[in-house]
Amino acid sequence: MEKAYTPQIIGFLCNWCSYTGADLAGVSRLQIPSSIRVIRLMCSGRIDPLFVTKAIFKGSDGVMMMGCHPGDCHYQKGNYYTRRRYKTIKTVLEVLHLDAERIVLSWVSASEGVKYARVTKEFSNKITGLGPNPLKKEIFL
Amino acid sequence: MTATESIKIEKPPKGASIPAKKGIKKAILGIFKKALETESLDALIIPVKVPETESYAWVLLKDTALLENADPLPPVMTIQGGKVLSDLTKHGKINKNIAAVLRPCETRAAVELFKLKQLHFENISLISIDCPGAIPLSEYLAEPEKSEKSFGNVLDKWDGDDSVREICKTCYRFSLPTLTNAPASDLHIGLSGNTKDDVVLIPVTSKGEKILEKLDLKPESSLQKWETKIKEIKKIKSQRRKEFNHDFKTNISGPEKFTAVFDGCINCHNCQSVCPICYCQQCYFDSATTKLSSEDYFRRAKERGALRFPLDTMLFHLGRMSHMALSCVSCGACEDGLPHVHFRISGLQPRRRADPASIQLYPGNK
Amino acid sequence: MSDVLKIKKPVEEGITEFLKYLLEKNKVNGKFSQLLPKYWEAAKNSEVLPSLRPTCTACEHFVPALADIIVSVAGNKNLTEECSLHLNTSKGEELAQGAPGNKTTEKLNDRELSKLKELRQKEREKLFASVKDKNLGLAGMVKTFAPCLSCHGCRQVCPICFCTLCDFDSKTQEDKPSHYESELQQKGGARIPSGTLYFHTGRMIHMAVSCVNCGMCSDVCPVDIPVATLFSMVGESLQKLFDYLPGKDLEEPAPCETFIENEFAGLGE
Repeated sequence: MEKAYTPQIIGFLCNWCSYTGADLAGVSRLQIPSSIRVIRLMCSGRIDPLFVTKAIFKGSDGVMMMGCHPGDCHYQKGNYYTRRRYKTIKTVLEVLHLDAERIVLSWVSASEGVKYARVTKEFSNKITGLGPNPLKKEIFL
Repeated sequence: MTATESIKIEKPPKGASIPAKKGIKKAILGIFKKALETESLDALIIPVKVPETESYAWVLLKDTALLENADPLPPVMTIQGGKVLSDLTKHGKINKNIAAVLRPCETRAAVELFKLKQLHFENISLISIDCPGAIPLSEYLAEPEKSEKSFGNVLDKWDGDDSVREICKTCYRFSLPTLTNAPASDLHIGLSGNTKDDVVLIPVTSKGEKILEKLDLKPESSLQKWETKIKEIKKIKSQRRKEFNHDFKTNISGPEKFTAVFDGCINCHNCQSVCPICYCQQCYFDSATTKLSSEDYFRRAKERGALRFPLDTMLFHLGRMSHMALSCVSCGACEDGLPHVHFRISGLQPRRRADPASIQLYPGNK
Repeated sequence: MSDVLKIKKPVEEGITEFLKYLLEKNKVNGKFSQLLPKYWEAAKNSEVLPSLRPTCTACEHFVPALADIIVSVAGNKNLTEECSLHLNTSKGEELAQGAPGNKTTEKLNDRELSKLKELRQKEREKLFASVKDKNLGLAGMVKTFAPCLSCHGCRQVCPICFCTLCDFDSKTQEDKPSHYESELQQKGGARIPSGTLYFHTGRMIHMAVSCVNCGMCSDVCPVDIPVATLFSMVGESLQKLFDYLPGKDLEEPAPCETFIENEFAGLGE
């Protein structure tokens, strides 16, 4: 029997807001899609665009970049840089006609457990709709 | 214990002959297909044509469907096979039973990389193949069909060397590295000397013997015809090498002629990055050590009247030679990797090396 | 409007003389030999020449706005009669103090320059269209980069790629044997070296916003991949996004090292 397709999504979460938000979602017993694999960083500004690119090229079905809302960064301005990096990655992939849709940016604060549950579910559904990342099966990358 | 956990066979007396009515390529691929299907091998490293293109890429494969586009002896050398093995096993041994199909200079590069601790041979068998040379990469990419054709001719005649690279024309180590000394492969595929009707698989080490055993192939054919032909070609090529070395020496002797060789160098370091032997993570010549202060630049400019940028291209090439040429296997990857500012460097490398015969040691000998 | 130093000689001789003067003034007594006469011949015509590098035929920024001295070439009808050096900054004026030639005041030929710019823009569209057809998308990218030797020469010669040790040459990006084992398991095969497309895409993400379309990467490529055209295309989109032109202004920070607080409003909400 063929297993139903469950996507594999990497979430890069900042320690101070989004990871705490995800924790709150868990403590609140909200349902979180099992497709999300979380990697915690101290700040979303630590997300080297290459982390995201590598995840996609090595076959992850989607990547979520999450951090504090603009203005709320624990380090004052880390997430402003994240925002520019996110736009950069998206633009490059769009111009190259690669699946830019598989990458998303969400601001989730420490108190937004509900939002964490919502955005992860929405993104997971979207990726399920898109199907597996075609790079997963490509040999000549 | 030797590097490859295998025992050398003193002098392979016989080989297993494989009919090749539909061409040698098909015959060889047939053997590999069988080896993968019977799980005599877990996987194979072999050049495969990227679908819908004329480019060859190295692929580690177990899916036999990929063999459709594979070529055990492509007309070009893209990335040096020794480098590929190093990429695979630099960080430790691989836990699959793998064979790599390589040109002789590639097997020798692999052995050099092993000595330099950049490669693990455990579970890996080297399969070498008689090599008539390779077409210059730029020529192949410009006219792939024409190059395939001329490579076919080279392979048929073994003397139609005109279309192969200069370094290949004078390569006298085109076959099993040596019949009498330590071998640099486990199983050798003999092409020359046989009619187009068959290829001969020669077990060189106990590992190679085991592969044949598993495939139910018995080494029962005499190698005499192949040996004779190899010796014949070797003689011609050695002579050519001697002449080449002589001419080359005349052409590059003296600082003016020598610097002229590198006139076109733009410091891209492509020759270094494609070299199988240059394994350093960060080359000295790319490091901060080689960057000068502006005062230094100006002082040097004053001393000589002018300063050429990029700086010290000659120092780079001479430095690389003194670092690496002892292990140079004359594969020609450096020349193929040049931007289309063609200057000859692969010819220079072997010249910097001590005469192998006199020291009973040459790169690629285990 | 700026001061103009006029040397009554054909442009290639004039510029040679001027450079000789500069070398002597700075006590660097070198031989200055005239290089690339062919190139001068091409520059004289101030037209789009198909034999130029592809990115050069499509270059719109051929007037070096920041230069201290601009040698008027493009659109200059008097090229064979005189060499006009536009002293663009005070530094330029200082350098030219006492140099042979007559000083006048005039503007660069705007009408001719914009005509050439228009021609180049059309070439740019053509160039981008040529890669859009066959080089993009996963299948297109795989085909485009199929012959790549991973020599990283494009990175080595890139003026913007300044890192002493590139991340892609570092241990971080080297795969362990277990990686290849799992690739075998999942795909039935793996290309070695791995990460060719990842390298090129990654480099674009890192550097393309500052790409000046010089074309070095394509020139150096031993297997003729149109790297420069792709970089140029990606770079143009990134530069539009951040309203940025690399090399235009010394004071303007690079997009990756700055931000505007209220840009991209609503993103991530």
